[in-house]
Amino acid sequence: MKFEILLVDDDPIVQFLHKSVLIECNLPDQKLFSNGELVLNYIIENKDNDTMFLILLDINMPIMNGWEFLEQLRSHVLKPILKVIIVTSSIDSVDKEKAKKYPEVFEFFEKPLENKMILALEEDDDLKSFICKS
Amino acid sequence: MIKDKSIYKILIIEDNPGDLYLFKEYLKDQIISPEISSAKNFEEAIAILSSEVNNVFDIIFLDLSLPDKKGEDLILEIVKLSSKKPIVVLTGYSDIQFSIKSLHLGVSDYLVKDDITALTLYKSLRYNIERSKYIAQIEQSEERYADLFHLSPQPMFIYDVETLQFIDVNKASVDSYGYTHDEFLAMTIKDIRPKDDVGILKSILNKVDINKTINIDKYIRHQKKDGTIIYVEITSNLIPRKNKSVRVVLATDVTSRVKYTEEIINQNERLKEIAWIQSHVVRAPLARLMGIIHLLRLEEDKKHEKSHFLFDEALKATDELDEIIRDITEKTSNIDINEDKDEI
Repeated sequence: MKFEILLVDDDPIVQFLHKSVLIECNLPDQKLFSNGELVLNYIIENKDNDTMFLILLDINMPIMNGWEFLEQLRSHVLKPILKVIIVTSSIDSVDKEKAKKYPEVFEFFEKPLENKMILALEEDDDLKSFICKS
Repeated sequence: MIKDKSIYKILIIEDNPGDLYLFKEYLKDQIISPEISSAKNFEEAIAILSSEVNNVFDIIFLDLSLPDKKGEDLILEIVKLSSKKPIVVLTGYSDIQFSIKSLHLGVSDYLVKDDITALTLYKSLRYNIERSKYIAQIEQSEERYADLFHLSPQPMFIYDVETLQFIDVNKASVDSYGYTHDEFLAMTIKDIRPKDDVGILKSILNKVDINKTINIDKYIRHQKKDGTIIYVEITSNLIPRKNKSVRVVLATDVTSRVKYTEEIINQNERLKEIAWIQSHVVRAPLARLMGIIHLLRLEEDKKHEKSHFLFDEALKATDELDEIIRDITEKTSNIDINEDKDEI
């Protein structure tokens, strides 16, 4: 099973920061997307039964925001190969509640993203083989 | 025979001394101590009725032909001075037609002189005194109810259910809406609505059970003569009249209350917007700053060129934060509820 990290955020600084954090966590390979549409197209084109996508998803983005992206997923049977973490600057509890409605979403991170959040994913059964504390 | 012990103050206006004597005797026959005053002409009658003392009688007996005044003139003058006490006309056979007519002029009863006996005179006295008491009571209670309407501090009006025409409006309506009483009576209740709201009025009138109290929970818009639009709360009740149905309406001006509520709703909307900005927009550059500082700490030891870039970005993020906070400050300073509500 392959493992791919997809960073979805429209803010280049945030992309840079998230990338830096992932590198610190020994996860140097990730693909960057600046809105939901771009990442959705990438997934549809590249999905195979051998690849698991870990998506770090921002909410507020132009063209297709995080919620719209999650809505679009409903018409594609992708759940078994997707793991979505919402990474947002929002501290609005409404957003946190809303996120629970989507089965693909398994974590809700408030920015800034920190090493320890990524390293804690080791606990997750699907992810532990890819993430190891160095 | 048992005589009446009550004290009656009686005025007899009669120019014929024989008749006067007879009437006095008849009265004494039935009443223990009648207080009888008499006048033998119109001039004397005026003097007694206009005098400051002793001018109120329980009943006035009036001969229709006095030497100095007679007929309709006489009746009208005496009615004016009678303080609404009953007047019984004393008449001869030749004047019966006129006596009947005189009942319209404010006379309570008439007696034909030749038929008068002690009993008929007494009966007429008792009957007319009692009747006038009842009339006075009814007038008083009517006055009280009319006062409730006319002196109500809230605008009230009565309209015809069929034609929607105003039938009466009180002083508060005149003061509040700016139309005169006469202008109101030439209008229908549609005319105090803004033009666009006449449809709403029709649908309300179609919906309501005509016999029930109408309580309109939604505020209704009315328009004053000068075009000002006010919000009113309406309560109305059906009053059945002989030929038509009318409704009495109480219209309470709640404009300042409605405006105040609207202000509060607007303010809440703006506060919600500010809360949203706080959690989504302000937090974005702050989270970025926090991320940058976190990385800066890691870079500290490595002394990498990257740290210049990070410092620049940190500064940009603080500038952005500054701008957002200024924006929020401006928004909150716009919240300014109009505090001068009308005193109720």
